[in-house]
Amino acid sequence: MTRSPGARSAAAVVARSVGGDPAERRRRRLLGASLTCCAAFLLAAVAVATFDLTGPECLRTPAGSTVCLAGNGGYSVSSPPGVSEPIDDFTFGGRLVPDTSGLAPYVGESGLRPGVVVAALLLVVPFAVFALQVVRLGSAARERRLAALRLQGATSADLRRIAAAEVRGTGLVAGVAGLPAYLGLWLLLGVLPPSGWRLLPTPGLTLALAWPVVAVVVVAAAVLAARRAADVGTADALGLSRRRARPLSRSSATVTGIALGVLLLGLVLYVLAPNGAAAGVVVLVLPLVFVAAAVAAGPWIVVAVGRRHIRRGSPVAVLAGRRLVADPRTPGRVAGVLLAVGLAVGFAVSDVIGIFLSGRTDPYDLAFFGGGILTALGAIGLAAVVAALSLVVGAAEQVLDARRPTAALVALGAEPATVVRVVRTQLRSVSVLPAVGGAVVGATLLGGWFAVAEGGGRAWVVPAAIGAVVVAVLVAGGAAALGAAGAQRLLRRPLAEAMSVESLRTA
Amino acid sequence: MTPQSTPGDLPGTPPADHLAAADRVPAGAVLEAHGVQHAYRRTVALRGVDLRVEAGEVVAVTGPSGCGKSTLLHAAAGLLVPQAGTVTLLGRDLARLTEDERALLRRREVGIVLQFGQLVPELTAVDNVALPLLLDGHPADGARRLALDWLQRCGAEDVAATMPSDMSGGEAQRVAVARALVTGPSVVFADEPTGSLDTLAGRQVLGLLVAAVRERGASLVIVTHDNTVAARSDREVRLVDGAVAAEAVLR
Amino acid sequence: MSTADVVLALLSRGPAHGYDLKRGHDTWFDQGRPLAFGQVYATLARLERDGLAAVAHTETGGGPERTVYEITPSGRARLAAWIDEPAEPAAPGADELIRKTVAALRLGLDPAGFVARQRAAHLRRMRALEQAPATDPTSRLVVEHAVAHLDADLRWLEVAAGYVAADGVAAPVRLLDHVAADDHADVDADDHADESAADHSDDHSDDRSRA
Ligand SMILES: Nc1ncnc2c1ncn2[C@@H]1O[C@H](COP(=O)(O)OP(=O)(O)OP(=O)(O)O)[C@@H](O)[C@H]1O
Ligand SMILES: [Mg+2]
Repeated sequence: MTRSPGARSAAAVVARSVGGDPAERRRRRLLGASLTCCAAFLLAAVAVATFDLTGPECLRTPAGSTVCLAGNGGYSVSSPPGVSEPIDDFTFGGRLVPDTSGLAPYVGESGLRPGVVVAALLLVVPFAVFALQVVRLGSAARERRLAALRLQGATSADLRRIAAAEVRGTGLVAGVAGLPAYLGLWLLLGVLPPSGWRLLPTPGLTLALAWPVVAVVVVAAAVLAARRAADVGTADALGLSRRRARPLSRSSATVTGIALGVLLLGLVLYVLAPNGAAAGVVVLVLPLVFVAAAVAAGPWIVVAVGRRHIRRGSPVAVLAGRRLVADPRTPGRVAGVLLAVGLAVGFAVSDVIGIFLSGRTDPYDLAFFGGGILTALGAIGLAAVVAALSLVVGAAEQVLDARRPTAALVALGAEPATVVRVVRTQLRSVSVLPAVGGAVVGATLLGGWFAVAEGGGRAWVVPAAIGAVVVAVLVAGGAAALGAAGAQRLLRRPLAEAMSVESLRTA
Repeated sequence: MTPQSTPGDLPGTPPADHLAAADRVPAGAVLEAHGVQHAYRRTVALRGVDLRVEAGEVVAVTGPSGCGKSTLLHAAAGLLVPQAGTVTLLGRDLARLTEDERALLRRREVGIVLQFGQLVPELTAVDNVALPLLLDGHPADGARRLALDWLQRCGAEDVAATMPSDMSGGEAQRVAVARALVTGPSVVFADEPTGSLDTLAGRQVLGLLVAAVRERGASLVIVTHDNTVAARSDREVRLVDGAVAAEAVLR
Repeated sequence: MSTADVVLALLSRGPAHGYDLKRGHDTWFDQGRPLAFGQVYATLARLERDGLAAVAHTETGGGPERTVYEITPSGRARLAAWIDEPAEPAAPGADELIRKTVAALRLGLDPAGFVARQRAAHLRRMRALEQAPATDPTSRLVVEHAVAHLDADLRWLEVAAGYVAADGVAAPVRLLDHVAADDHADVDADDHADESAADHSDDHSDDRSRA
């Protein structure tokens, strides 16, 4: 029955007929854009990871000649016109520098490249969270539509199929658009920057091979997410007339527990054997595990914060807290991303301070570390902006959905400013709080490590580490507050509309 | 800001204070609307309506669908400022008040009951009822106790800890009535408060509302399609096409 | 309502004399007309003749002699049959309200004012009924029935008011379409009347000549 052609064609009809709805079109555009970005960054990870497979390992001399190692143990030298280098293993004048064909050193050097791959993969996360937000919430209208279908006798399998049909096309287009998007990204990060600062290698054959794979992965992920979002609970038959709270389930607790367990295991492995081969892998995988754990734990953090607000007792705090607790998933994932962002900021700030502490300030080192940190900050900023956008989408959704009770709240005598404060409290709780928390942890961990490892008992090391924490908190907290304020600004109109007396006329 | 109640001073427990409440009602008209006109984009909803409600009076506003009843109620409660005409509610010219002042006035001296969907979905019944008191800065414990009292009076104590999504329509309306009355308002505005309920549940909710309002000597303006509801009022004001077509004193 | 059936119903509670039955009737229908003594005894005599009730005994304590009646088995059967049969829904057309409304609309004698006054009168009656103290559960039920009827009248008046509110020309005649749908001659005349304002006065004169 669940595989009947009738149900399938019904799914197709519903998917097609809702295509004309403007809210639905906007949802598709947002979903398409975020999935395209996911695909582009996946391709970037592939491109960077497979880059060295195409050519030998080369080094560059200060005079500009390139020395490449040959497969048989020999080497070849190619010099620019007018330069002649002594052909001698040990007498290339001065130091050999890896040749990276214009790429930034941490992309060009094979030993550092996996880190870049991990970074590209990490950048997929905020876009995926954004896409999940769009898929999961959709619009209230969509949820009502599913509920209406449910009332007309659609089984939950039918609902899942319909929801999947709704995103399949969008996912496919986005997956295919991933390559052009990657090429755009390459122009931006692999062509335009000066030599030595480029982040993405010239597209090669592997990219063409990876393209369909990535497209399929993107479609599969989107369909999976949509099927889960259409699951009972969200598309309850009662959803037509009433919305229910969606408290966290046991299964999400299990997922969070597993993620945290793996994270802990990784940390233990790393601490026990900080220099082994396993440790190298752990170091690379750890950030991915950490972000996964943060995203999984985010909803629980949001619930905890919400409960604290409720206990505070002031009506604004209670209302904000109840709203957070009522639907902690989507803001929770954003909180998880922002926690990771905060942690990264903490690391970056401590790192900068650590560089100066260790006195590695010759031009090559500065270019190496400085460039790396700048790039990292750029990536962190991008993640933060995308997270803020998810926040806006989610909050706008909630505002739209709650417009009748919101208008009733104003009718009952809440000042509009009070309602705005409720939304602001919600936004801040899921942005500033996790970002600052992450920054404190990150800066303390890395700063503390620097203080121990590099300080050598110098008196100013500890103040510097503390300074790192303060700076990290200011940067992360400030950026998050700015993001929350921006989100609030974007929400001003929907919120004003929700508070207006017209909203009393809505269902 | 308002002389009748200051934060920290609870409006009293319901059963014993109706005399005190009757005392606080200002003599004369509670609501005076003159020449109220309002149009939405192209639709003219009200074309010069006069409405006077005396202290302690129960007024029914009736009329065919789309005749402007809700618009009039919203204007009277200060939820919208009409494009022309004046509305004086409890001695205050609403057009001269800021939005916040109007909110404060509603919170402390006006109760509002709508047809449905007015409870905050994330709060339990008792928290919903306590909300106007909490917003006004009353201590939470006292506010909850008073809220519970009112839930009891409205026959909704069984759902005190229930979320609105898990209540029946009748229960939700009882909670809404309790919320409208908990601050001891001088005037209650109700827009089809029984419109989404069956006859029996509707009658119970209405009986509750009218009895509580009469007991306190407060005024009630009730918009309704239901003749049996209108028959419980002291006066019926009939709107047709945005104007008062007939008034009938029933008392 | 058949008095005999009600008396039979009252008797089915247990043996009773005439005064008990009158009191019982007046308690049950306290908004209606009280039952006359003469009618009670006449009814009892008829019931006895038909074998539906019988004399149980005669009381002679203190005052005048009183006959106590009781229900017979065939009386019980008759009572059950009466309850089994639903009441005839009241036929329309005989009502004063309809007569006045139709006349007011037909003659154009301030129909809006008439409807408003009638509405107020109905609402007042309804309010009085609602405020009457409920002596016992079924007397409250009888009140509810009266209220429901008043409500039905009010709804019907609202329909009438709608015909008044529409353009003054076609309004009165269209109502008649509605009320007396089987009156074909009227319907045809009305269709013509719909077409122009000039026909309006004709229609009125028509009515007057008919009246
Ligand atoms: N936001 C709006 N935009 C445009 N027109 C509106 C709006 N709100 C109300 N109207 C129109 O104003 C008129 C009066 O509306 P209102 O809601 O006051 O009527 P009502 O008497 O309460 O009707 P009902 O009994 O159906 O609730 C209607 O014709 C309605 O279509
Ligand atoms: Mg209305």
